[in-house]
Amino acid sequence: MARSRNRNGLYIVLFLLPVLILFVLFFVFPLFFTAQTSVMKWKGIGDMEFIGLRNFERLFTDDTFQMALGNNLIWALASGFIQVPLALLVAILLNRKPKGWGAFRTIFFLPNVISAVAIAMMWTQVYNPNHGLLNALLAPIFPDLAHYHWLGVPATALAAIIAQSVLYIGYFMIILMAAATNIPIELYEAAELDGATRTQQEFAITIPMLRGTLVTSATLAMAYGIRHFEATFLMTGGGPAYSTTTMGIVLFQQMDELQYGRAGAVALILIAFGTGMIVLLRAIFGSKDPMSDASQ
Amino acid sequence: MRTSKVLKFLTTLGVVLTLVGAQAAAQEIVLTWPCIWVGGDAKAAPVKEIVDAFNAANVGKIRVDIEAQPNYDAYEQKIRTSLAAGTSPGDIFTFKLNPATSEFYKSPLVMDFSKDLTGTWAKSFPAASIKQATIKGQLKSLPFEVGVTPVWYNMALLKKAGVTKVPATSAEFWAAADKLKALGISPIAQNTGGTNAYITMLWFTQIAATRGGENVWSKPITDPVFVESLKDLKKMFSYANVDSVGAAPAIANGHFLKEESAIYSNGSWRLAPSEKDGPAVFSNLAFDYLPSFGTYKNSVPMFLQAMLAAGETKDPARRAAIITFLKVLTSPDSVKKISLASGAMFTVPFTFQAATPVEKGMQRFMDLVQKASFTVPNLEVALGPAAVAEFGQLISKYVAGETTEADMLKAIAKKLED
Repeated sequence: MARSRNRNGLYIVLFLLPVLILFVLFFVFPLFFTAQTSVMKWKGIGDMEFIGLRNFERLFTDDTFQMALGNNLIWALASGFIQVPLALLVAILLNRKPKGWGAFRTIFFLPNVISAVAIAMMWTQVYNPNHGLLNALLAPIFPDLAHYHWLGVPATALAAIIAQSVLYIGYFMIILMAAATNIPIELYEAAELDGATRTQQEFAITIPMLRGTLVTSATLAMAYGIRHFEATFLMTGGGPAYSTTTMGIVLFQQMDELQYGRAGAVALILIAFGTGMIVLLRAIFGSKDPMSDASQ
Repeated sequence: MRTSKVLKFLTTLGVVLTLVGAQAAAQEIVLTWPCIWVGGDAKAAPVKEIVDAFNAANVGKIRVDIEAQPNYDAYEQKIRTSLAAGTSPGDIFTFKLNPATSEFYKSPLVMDFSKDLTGTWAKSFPAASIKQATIKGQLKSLPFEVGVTPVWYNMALLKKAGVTKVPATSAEFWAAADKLKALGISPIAQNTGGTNAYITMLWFTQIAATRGGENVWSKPITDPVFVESLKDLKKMFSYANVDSVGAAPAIANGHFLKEESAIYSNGSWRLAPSEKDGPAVFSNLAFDYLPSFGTYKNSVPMFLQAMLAAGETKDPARRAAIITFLKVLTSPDSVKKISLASGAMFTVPFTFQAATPVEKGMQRFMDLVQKASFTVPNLEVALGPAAVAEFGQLISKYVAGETTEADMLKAIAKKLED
């Protein structure tokens, strides 16, 4: 019996070993290397010079980096508290199986299979001040906006990028729809017998039962928000006047300027910021899943 | 039995062919060239022609393979990250020489040409450009393409606005801009997007040169010359295309070619594309110095636009192959071919009769350089990518009135401290 258990343990280790080696090589080692470079002055070429925490000090006193931190926070909150609730709303509506729900599900999910580059380019055109769709729609009501440059004005650029991003709810909608199908039908039947309306059922049964999935979705969405890069890079490059910059953009720019030490420091802060935010989210909302309780 | 014989024959044939192939492959040196002159670039066709001819003349010995990298920013990023990661970006590659990329000279992965550039090959390059490319005795890149960026005027639009000649003074320049604006067009093409706010950066360079002279970049960036230059630039933005803030250089190029802007600045490499994409504009072009905004007249930005570099190798045969190809690529014949097809200008001189419209345009660029009181490098070349990136970000804030000249220049100065 003991020998069999030992052999099983050995198999487990053997099966895990390749993944463990890859994990150490491609995650743990780069992480340590990044940590090492973060306390160095290094142009990427030539020798590193130890400078202690000066890279971090420089970043935290830099207006651009502070703006990036703030923007990352906005991105995380918008992803977690606008994108996911929108996805929930659509998931609930489509779960009622209205006419054409299958087509709507496909339409909502479609952007997830389209390249982020193509989507960013499309929205750049939508926001174009000369021939953009948005201004064309707004101009009859607000003539002053006929040539408004949504991405060129610091006050609106960040909101414009976030707005186009949070609309893509397909991924979370599918997760929530899948989870909603697992809610025991008896709960709804009982509620119906008690005279609860559909809306009351959604608030009293669906949303509470989806709590675990919602927390997971919000965590994922916020993680995506924190590491956001592509759309901003493609649509504004972090401008105008750094108004849309994020830590990912700052990291890229530091590398572009051959400031690899400082780029390492940004990467570490990004990891710490992301981890902290997710831990906080789990602490506030918990990770207990009512669905698993129901199935027990 | 027969089947077995056939199988044996086929196996033997396969082994022999593999060995022959391996032998041939072992003898042929394949050089990779991650290249930006591909796709729609005006230099793509002549460069391909030169490479194809070289490969045909060196069959079985040397072959140059072009790796297409059509995006300039992505290309520069690839070169930087490859070298920083300790990997050679390729056997042959190009980069812009500026205070940041001069770090590449410290990399053991980049070949030093100082001992190879001798005899007639050395004589084909102007001594001044070789001096510019030599850092601490090392010549780790060859000066190849030259950028000359005067002011481009669409004379048809200017005439339509009642301006019959190229503005000679700043007062005439602003008057022309006013008249063009009254016509309902955006007189001056600008762009603040991309990694270097290219067109706007060129305007700033030209204004600063007319205010600060030949050695303008040796002044601290917080110097009053740059404060005043920013004020002029801000005024220019009141005549700029509405989407100038955040726009890529292609947007400014497009406005000029679509006759939505009448005054623009760029290099001669835009001549051939302009002829192709905007023939109506091209036939009415005039090129000149920016009128003086200060005390200095007749200056034009001129800088080394592309440096040729090579990956270091310990294999003498490979090194010889690289040098052989670079000698062909930088020969006056090759340079002439690329130059005449694209309008781009190069350090290696060659003789030509300005026959075609593009060649006449190039001749005008050369005349402007020859007759200039002085030439200056642009902001990016002089101060590096960090400074120009900060310039590009803050200029939008500045033109929107959200920061002052002093604060903007202080921020750039802080970047320069790195």
